[in-house]
Amino acid sequence: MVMNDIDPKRRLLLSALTAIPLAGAAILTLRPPRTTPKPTHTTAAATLAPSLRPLHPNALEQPHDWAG
Amino acid sequence: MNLQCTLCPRLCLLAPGQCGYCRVRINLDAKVRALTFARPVALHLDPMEKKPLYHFLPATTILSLATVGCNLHCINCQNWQISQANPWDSEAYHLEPEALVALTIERQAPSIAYTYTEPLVFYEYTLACARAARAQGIYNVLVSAAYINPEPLAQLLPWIDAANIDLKAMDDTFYQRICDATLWPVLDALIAIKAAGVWLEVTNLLIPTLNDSNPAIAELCRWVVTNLGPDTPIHFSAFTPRYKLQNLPRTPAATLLRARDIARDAGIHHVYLGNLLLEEANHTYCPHDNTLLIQRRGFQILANHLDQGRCPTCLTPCPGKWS
Repeated sequence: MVMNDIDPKRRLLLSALTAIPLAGAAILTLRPPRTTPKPTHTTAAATLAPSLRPLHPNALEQPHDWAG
Repeated sequence: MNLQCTLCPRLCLLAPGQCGYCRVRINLDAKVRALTFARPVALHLDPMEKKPLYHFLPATTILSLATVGCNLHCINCQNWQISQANPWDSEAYHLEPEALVALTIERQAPSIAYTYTEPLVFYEYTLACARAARAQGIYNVLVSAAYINPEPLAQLLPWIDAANIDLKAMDDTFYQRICDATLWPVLDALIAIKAAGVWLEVTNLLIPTLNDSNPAIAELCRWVVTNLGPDTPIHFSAFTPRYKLQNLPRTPAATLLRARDIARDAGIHHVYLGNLLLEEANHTYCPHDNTLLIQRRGFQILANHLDQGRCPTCLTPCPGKWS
């Protein structure tokens, strides 16, 4: 079956349906690539670099407000 | 591969690289690990009375440490700056268990406290330190909310000598609304700790209008007497507005005194009042003849009349570890 054999109204509908995925593909193609990764727990853990501080001789005797 | 952390009742399901509710425990290399192992953010020499433990080695110092993280989210948390912090945002000391024990010996402290935040979320570090400490004759003290599953708790308890557990209320709705947790695992843990022979004291922070009614206090005391025994000391602490709970007033002294009366009526032998400096609120009396055994002001011991752990008048043993 060729398009010319189809009823004109059905032909119009089929053309419209064909156009929708084409338009979607065009939009996806035009979208700019993501440059920065979406922040997640995974990225936070992967970039974990524990910040360490030296233990000063009198650090333990410093007054503090922690409860318990 | 997704993994489930089975340490606490939350049972967090973790995708690779994902942290649990506690911010600390993570699925890394197909294993659930604690990011804070050997990374304490708070490290201090405190008086034992600050934990508070009043019946365990009084007037001694205790090396106290915490890493970041907690598996509760109490809106009134007093240490929220570290309990609710991310490990990757926090500056920490690097202190392996053996180094911690060496430091404790160097500072001549007879005990180590795992405290300030929630020591059960840095479970592996607590366990490793406790084992190393025990090998050197150092005591281990847990200051915790006890929101943990029975199996890991059972593995830890043989290494723990004393504990102060925060029983926040005898009300599951309170735990849900204020702490984002549930009550029943805490009660199970308290019973397990007592049954394991660990010296146990209980703290209850009284928050105006939330858990300070007479029936609420009485129910908590009755549960303690029935399940933990009348010799389990209770510390009623005064609330001060902190963190996300700023719209309630401080707990008045009258509330603490009322709680003490209720606890004594329920049969609790040793009741202490904390976070407020009240005369005679921190003394220990003989439950048999009411002789003054230990006189305290705040964290300071003014006099200790115990004779080898006994009342000098009637010779009734006072429960606890005194030397």
